Parts: sequence; C-alpha cells; structure tokens
Amino acid sequence: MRICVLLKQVPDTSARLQAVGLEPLFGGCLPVVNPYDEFALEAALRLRESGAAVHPSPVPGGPGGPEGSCEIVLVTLCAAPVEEAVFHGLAMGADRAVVAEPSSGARWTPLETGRVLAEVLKTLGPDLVFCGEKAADDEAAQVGPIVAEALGVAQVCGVESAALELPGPALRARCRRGNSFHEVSCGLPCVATFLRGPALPRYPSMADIFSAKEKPVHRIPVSPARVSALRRVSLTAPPEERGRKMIRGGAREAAQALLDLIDRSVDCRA
Amino acid sequence: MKGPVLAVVELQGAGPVRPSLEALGQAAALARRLETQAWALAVGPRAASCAALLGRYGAQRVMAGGVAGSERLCALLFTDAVEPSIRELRPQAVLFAATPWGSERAARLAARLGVDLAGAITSWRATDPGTLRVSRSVYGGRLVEELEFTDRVPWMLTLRPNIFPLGPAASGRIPEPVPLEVPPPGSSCCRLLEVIVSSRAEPPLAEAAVVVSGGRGMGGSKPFSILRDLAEALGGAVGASRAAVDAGWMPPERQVGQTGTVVSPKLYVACGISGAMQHRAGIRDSRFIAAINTDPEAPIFRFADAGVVGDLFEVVPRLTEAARGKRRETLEKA
Repeated sequence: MRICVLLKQVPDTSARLQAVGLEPLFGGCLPVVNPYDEFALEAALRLRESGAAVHPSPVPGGPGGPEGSCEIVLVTLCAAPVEEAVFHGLAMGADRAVVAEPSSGARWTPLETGRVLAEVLKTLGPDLVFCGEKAADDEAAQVGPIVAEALGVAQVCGVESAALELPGPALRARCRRGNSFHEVSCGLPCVATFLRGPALPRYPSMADIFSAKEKPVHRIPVSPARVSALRRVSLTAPPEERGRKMIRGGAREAAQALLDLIDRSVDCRA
Repeated sequence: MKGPVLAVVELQGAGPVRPSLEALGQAAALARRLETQAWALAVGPRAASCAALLGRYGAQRVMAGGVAGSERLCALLFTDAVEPSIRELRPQAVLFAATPWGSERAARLAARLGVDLAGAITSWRATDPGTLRVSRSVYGGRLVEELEFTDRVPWMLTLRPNIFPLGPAASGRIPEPVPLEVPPPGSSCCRLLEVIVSSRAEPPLAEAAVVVSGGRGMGGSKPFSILRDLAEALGGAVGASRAAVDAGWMPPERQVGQTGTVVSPKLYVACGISGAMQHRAGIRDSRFIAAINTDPEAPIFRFADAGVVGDLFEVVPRLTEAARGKRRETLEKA
C-alpha cells in the first residue's frame, strides 16, 4: 500500500507578519511544516503502525507498493526551498519525498496547485492521499478536494482520526462537522484532509533525524497549465489594537459594568 | 442578459442553515448590483418545500431536488448531481456558506468547472460590471488579502459565517421550484455510517453569535463549567485556547485560533487567556472582544474592546448572574 502525504512549508504560525507589496515579509521567522499537513502525516504513520496498511494495493494493476509493505511518500510543491519541511517529514517517518519545483516564483492559486499535484500523484499511484484540511498561509482549504476531483476519486474532509477497514480495504474516518462528528467509510483510493485530532504529531528522535538524511528526495520540474483568473490586488496587516476600555472595581460591579458596555456595543441576538 | 447569481444552500433537519441564508442574502445583493436574478439551489428530501423560505431571504428562483439522505450526499456525488444544471444555468457567480459542508463542495465544484474559488470571504464589492473584488483572511488572520476576479465566470465564493447580515426577509412572491435530478446517497463509495451529535445543544464555534473561551488560567477541565453557564446565559458556545486543549482540558473541536477554529462572533469573551499570536489572529473578526485576566500586562488586553483585571472565578459567575438577570428582564418586558 502506498500513502502519499501532501506537505507544504509555511512561515512560523506564531510570528507577527507584515506585508510588503503583495507578499508577506517573513523577517527572521522560521519555516515550518503546515501544522494541518503534520496532522495528516501523523495519521499516515499511525495507519502504517496499526499493521492494517500492509494490504495489497486495491488499485488494479496499480503500483501500490509490494504486498506486505506500506510506503509513505511526501509530495510537495514549492517555488521556494522546502528543505526544512521535507526533512522534518522524513524525520517523522516518511520513506521518501517527491518535490515538484515550479519554473517560476509566481504565486499559484489552489486550482493550479491541486491540478499539478494530481499529475505528480498519478505517476505514484497512491491508495490513499492525505493532506491538511488547509494550509496556515493561504487558508484556502481547497487543494484536497481539487486533487480528489483531478484524480476522479472520493474525498473525506475534516478528518480527526482514521483507520483501515479490512477486508476492503476502506478508510474509516471520524470527521468534524461543526458541532457533531460524521463516522464515514470510504472505498480506496481516496483523498482525506485532516484537522487537529486526539493524536498530536510526534517529535523525531535523534536517530530519526540522522536516518532522514539518507532518505531519497526526487525533484521534478513543473509548470502551471493555465493562467489564473483570480489575482491578489492587495495584502495588508489589519489593525491589531482595539479600544481596550479597562473596567475597574470589585467583581460584581466590574461584571455589571462589562455587561452594560457589551449591551450598548453589540446586539448578540440579531 | 447576465447569468444569475446562484446561492447553494445547505439543509439540515427541517430547513436551511443560517450561514446559507446569509450567503443567499449576499447573492441577492450581488444580483441587484449586476442587474440579474438571484437563484437558490438546495439538495435534500424537503428541499422543494423550502422554496417559500428561500424566497423570503432573497431567492427569485429555486432549484430543488433529492430523496431521504441526499442532504448528506458525499461531495463527489453532490458535484455529479448539480454540475449539469449549473452548466446549463451559466451563472455569473456561485456562492456557498463557508461551513464544513459548503467549503468542501464549493472546492470540488470549482475544480469540476475549472474555475478559481475565493474561500471564506469577509467582504466583496463589484467594482465595475466585469470584475469582483473580495477580501479574506490569510496566515491565520494575521494578514488580509484582496483578490480580484476577471471576466472568467462563474466567480465562485464561500462566505465566512456571521459576517454578513441575513437577507431581505421580504414577503416576495414564492418562487416556483425547478426540479433537480439527484442520485440516491446509497450509490456513493463514501458512506456515512453514523452522526455523533454533541450532547450539549450549543451552536458550532464558527457560527456562534457568542463565544466564551478559557485558557491556561482555567487551571483544569472542571472549571470550564462556569464558562458553560456563562455561554448558556448569553446564548453562545464554549471555546478554548490552544494551551487549554494541549493540556487536555478541552477537546480539539473546541480550540479557537490557528490549528483550531477561526471564529467571528458578535461577542467574544476571553477568560484566563494571555493572547498568543495564533489566538489573537483567530478571533480578529469578532465584533466585540472582552477579556478577563488577573495579569494586567496580558497581551489580550491590548487586543480587546473591554477588559477586566481580576480573578475569572469571581468575575465570570457574577457576569453569568447579571446576564441571566438581564435575560429575565427582557422576557418580562416581552
């Protein structure tokens, strides 16, 4: 069985950002793996560790990996260097990485990104494609469904935890839907997008970090198939500070004063 | 004449969800701006019977169809079902609410139609008849981008819940439902086995008008009960900071901010939350932010509309009492 995990590198999610022209100014902030993609990779690793993912590929004639094994392949697309993210993913436990390198540094819309990733994935023949529900930079939440559409397979979105159902195999997933959860079963191959669930991503050990250096990273040049009809015309940092009216006094008076101020400012029932 | 503006409506139980009605109201506004019609599309067993309601919220025509369970049709079959009608309709724009249901279907439909989608927008303006500009949060709310659509249509949008007011709710004429062919849900390879509903009747975080959140200052999972009381008195939902979720005091679906849920309520009450970057960015679109914290230097205060420096275990119960008192007053007046 082969699980492909889509991985994106994003700027540190705790750093303050400013905009210069149409691009953010990252300053000295560190690049990290998109946290949602990290949840997806953790889910893939757990699926392999559960032992269920060794099932032979259900893709007829597909290169789903030799029977009795489960391969986890990272797939990433980035104009900028992505060494940190790929290396971290390999250290977490992925077997190898495929890096799609665009010919130019232009920004790609989710549609272009998803379609090109799907072309790369077609050469790998995955049984499962896992990715974050969204990326902590463009916040688009589109690449999973676009990849699923381009591959012509089903999508399972907002997954908190996943397992394999045998025989089948099928992906059994618990998906967050606002206030409730949907328990779904989806035939393979399929695309699943992940949110933060009960299992947090692991920290690689020193041994994992050393062995990651030996893992293969395959690079392929790519270019978008179309010109986007949606372009960014401005990027701004919104004002951070607010009125900050400080209310003093004992707990009871402060509570009453706060409620009065809230009532004068917003109508919560409308 | 231009194609219509189409709102795709999510049905749950008896009728459409509120964020979809917000999206329908904006579809009607955009249609007026473009001098065209506003249409609604709904899939579910009782979709056709919602036509009158959808008409009141701004739809001039309604496409509806479906059998039992088809309101939960998987995104792949949903797209198969609606694609032919949408291609035939040639809409100028297609709007969904940015709920989990709407976001994944909008993304799939846009990919099928080969057009770009602007997700979770917070404002829009039709600058001249051929273009549309929209704003949306990026980098977890740390930056805001403005995007411009060109003349390639349909423009596809999802709208962040709680940002846009409900539509006209006028007593317009009842639109005649246009039937829509929808496959039965059983034919999907993605089967819904079970819906696990949270035991508490609380709105989803992303859609709640009031969110009361607790952070490290809560000190454990049990004290969250005082926040539940306050949320109930204010008619809202309980959230938590990442620190509180990391500590295991609250489940991940309650996390507010980046890697959790980005919220945009009318009122956000932060209790014992210092206000890390990821949290502040995730609540930025709240109309009014109140903070209660013992530390007068907590960054959350700079980011709040009102702050109380004090022990949340003393202030929150008093706030709950006062809110209950006010609610009783309002009920008696009414």
